Amino acid sequence: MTILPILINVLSGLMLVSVILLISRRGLYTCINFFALHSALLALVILAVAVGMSEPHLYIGFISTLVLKVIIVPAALYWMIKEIKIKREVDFYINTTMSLLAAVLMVVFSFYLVQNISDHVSAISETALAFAFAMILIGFFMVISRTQAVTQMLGFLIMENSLFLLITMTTFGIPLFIEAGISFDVVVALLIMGIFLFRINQTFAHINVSELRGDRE
Amino acid sequence: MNEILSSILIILLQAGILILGAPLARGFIRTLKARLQNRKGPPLFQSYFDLIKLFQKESVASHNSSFIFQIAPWIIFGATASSALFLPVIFRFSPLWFSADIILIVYLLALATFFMALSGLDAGSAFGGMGSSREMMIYSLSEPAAILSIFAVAYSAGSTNIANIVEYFFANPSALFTVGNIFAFLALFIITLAENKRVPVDNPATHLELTMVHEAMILEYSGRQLALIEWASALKLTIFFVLLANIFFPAGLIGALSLGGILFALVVFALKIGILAAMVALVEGSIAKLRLFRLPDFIMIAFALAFIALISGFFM
Amino acid sequence: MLSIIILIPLFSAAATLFLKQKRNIEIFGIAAQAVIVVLSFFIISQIAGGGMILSRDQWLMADALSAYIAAIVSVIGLTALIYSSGYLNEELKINAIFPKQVKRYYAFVHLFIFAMLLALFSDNLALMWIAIEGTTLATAFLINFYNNQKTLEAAWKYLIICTIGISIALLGTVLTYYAALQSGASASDVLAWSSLVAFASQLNPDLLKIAFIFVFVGYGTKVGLAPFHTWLPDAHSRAPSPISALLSGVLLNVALYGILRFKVITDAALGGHEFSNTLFMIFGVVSVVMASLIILVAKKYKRLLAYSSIEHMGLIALGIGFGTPLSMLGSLWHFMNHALAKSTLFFISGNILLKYHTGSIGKVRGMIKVIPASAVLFLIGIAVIVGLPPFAPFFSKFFILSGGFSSGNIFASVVVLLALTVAFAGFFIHANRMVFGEPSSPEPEKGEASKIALGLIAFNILLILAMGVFLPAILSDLMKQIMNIML
Repeated sequence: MTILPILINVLSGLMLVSVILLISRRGLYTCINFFALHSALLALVILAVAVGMSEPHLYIGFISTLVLKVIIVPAALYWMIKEIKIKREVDFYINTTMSLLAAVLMVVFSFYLVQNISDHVSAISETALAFAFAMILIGFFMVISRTQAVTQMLGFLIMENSLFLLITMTTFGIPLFIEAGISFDVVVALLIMGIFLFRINQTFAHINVSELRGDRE
Repeated sequence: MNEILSSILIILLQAGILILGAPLARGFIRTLKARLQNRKGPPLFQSYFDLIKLFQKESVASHNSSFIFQIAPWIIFGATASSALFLPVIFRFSPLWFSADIILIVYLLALATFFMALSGLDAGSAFGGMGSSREMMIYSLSEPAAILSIFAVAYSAGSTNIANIVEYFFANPSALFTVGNIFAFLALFIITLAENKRVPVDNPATHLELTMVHEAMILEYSGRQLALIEWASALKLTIFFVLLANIFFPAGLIGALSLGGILFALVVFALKIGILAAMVALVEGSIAKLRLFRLPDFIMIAFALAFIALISGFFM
Repeated sequence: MLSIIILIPLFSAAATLFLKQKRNIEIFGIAAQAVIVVLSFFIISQIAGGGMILSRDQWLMADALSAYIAAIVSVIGLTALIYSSGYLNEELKINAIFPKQVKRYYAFVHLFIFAMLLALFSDNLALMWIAIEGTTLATAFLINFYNNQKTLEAAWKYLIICTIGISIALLGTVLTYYAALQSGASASDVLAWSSLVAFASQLNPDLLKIAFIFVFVGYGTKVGLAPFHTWLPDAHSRAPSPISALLSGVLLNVALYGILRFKVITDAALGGHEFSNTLFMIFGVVSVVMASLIILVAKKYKRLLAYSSIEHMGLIALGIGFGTPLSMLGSLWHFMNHALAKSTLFFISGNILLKYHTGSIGKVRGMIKVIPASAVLFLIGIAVIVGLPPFAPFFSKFFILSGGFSSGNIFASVVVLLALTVAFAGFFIHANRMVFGEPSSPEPEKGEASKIALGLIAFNILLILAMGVFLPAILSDLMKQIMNIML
């Protein structure tokens, strides 16, 4: 039982590393690769909890994460980038240094948050809990600070991954039906985003959403 | 009497392995990189041959240089070599370590860097100045990150004294695998690349004026002085490797003076350094060198990782 | 029975795949929706007097709050469907859209209604989340119905902002779930709202505070509270008018309903209303003030209506935040009033758009000469939404504000009052410009675009009048029940 917290700590720590590397890289393919790594680590965490806490229904979660987020989604993103023929570099509203500093701030904030509730909760590992929180915030930050639609989608995906990490660690998995429902929602959301991406590209010939100047009053 | 003898032996062994083995490490990286790139590469001991050759040559100094130019190589080598005295190579302890503070090591290396930069400026050539200013820029970014990551480890061990740190981790091996340490290790690895001017920070093999950093500073040196400086930079790389290897993975460090033990520890040490060198070679072979103004971003990654390492140690 | 009412729109959506004729699709959809309306009234009658319907397995539940809002959803859904048929007909006639799109339109509208009903009637908080996210997904395509540059941008912003907002709400939901598990609830009923409410006092207050903040921010994004409202003006103005009516009139209500469910749990866990009320009040005031200022300088009439929705949602939040029974009653009543009034206005705006083919206020002039009936109804609609007596919104706003004064939040109430005045002025100016004056040239042909639409709008207005004059006994009983839950 004592290996489990350490293992989960290490895995979620590596997840955080991949997120940090993701927000600092400018190559779109590299970002997608880091996302695939992130999802693979998440799958490992689910497996670890499934084995360590004897929750067999998490095995399904492990397999579905592996198949969906490590293989299918990155492949779909790759295909989409090729189809749209966008430039492979990411532009930022906020440059790398600032993004990294913001990410660190979020980690600090998450630790502070978890410490505040730590007396009442008993997760498998509080460090991992804080990391999950931090990654959710960082994913959110990615969405609002990126100008390219694909990286916004990546930010959303990271938020969802980290949310699942949080769920797995605090509640050892939720009823299968709910998990299926949430995954279904996420997949459909991604599909719709993908479709919109195509249409945006068709109409605007780029997917730099910062240039979608809105209506003004 | 025996005590003093064994103490001296320990000191000599540790320092000697480091100082004498440093060029080998560099050569290993070079050869491995070459093999990865499908070239044959220079022989493993090429660095030694280079050093021997350089020592036999005459050194020439520019008219514009001052005494700094003359003494800098000695200071650089001296500072780097003395910091080597304070590192655990094959032994868990060393009589010198009552004063072996991590900060001391960092500052000794900083002294070397400082004089390196000075000497680059001293000759008055354009390239020297350029190299020095770039060196200082990179250094000012990487040093805080290095200190942070080392502090993160020291914080979890409860002391900045090398001896205490090693003893602590030897006694509590499970404390090694905290997330903080993983982050600190990664951060320190990136710093290693940065401070030793490996790709993606600087290409050690290039002699294109516009891209040199380290090479630019030593451009004016020749002969024995150049040999000293080259040796010192190889030593610095090995020092960083030792920090990475033996602080984070102190397995294989022996406690007593025994022939079998020494051989065993030597093998383990060589293995660890070899793995690290291979990692560096891999990274060098796969990533392209970054443009200069991208360097802060790269080093910021190390800074962020080190900061997180500190926080997680702090809060948990 | 709850499952029936939820599944009907699903059938309607499926039917659009099979039915070929546009006429058939519409008739089927409207008929099905009418059934939904009847069923929702039936549910209300069952609930009246303090009942609560629970389905087995704790997936579905209907209490006074959900029945009330479900009824609003059903009725507005019905009027929107009826209006759509006329509206889409006109658009087909001028070749603004293709027949294939009509099928997709109805499919998504029914899916949208399905998701909303599912959200309202789910007992399981996670199921509610899934349904609310489902509404975002269903409406994304509807907003992008015309598939041009502007709608794409609006739909994309809507999709991204609402989806990540709702993800944050999921975080809050998970934390609540976690808190429940920590307090020893059994895993089976840990997410069921009905069970959670029962032992909410045992939940860890700190954890719930954090969870509620996340839920508030998350679902609040979907409600359109400032400063998370940035998607709303674009989305509601670029969508087809009947969709805008649904979005503004009902979807915002459903999102607010989500927050309210959590509010009840949080208040019970914290032992008091102050924490959640403060949140409601702050964001309510900010929304009202910001929206009113922009209403003053609005240049497009659909955006004007969208900002008015933000303002009214802020008002409702404010009423809830003030916490007195009177203001709560006002807020609850305002759910219905705003839904009816705003949908009416959007229907009329659809008429204007069909006639003038422009969205900007400056280019629409002389409505009274070109489309006199619509113009009159427009004026009445504006009077309603602005809160003139004797219409119902006047009373609900009055209740909310008097609740504000009586609960001691004088400053907030005064600020809001001023903001409402500003909004009133803005509406007055814009309406004046649009309705009176010489028609813009080239003169659009006179005559209404759709007679059905007119009848519908007139009916709506009568409904509003009626509600203002007397509130059916059953509704007031319903509201009392809701207040029991909330306070």
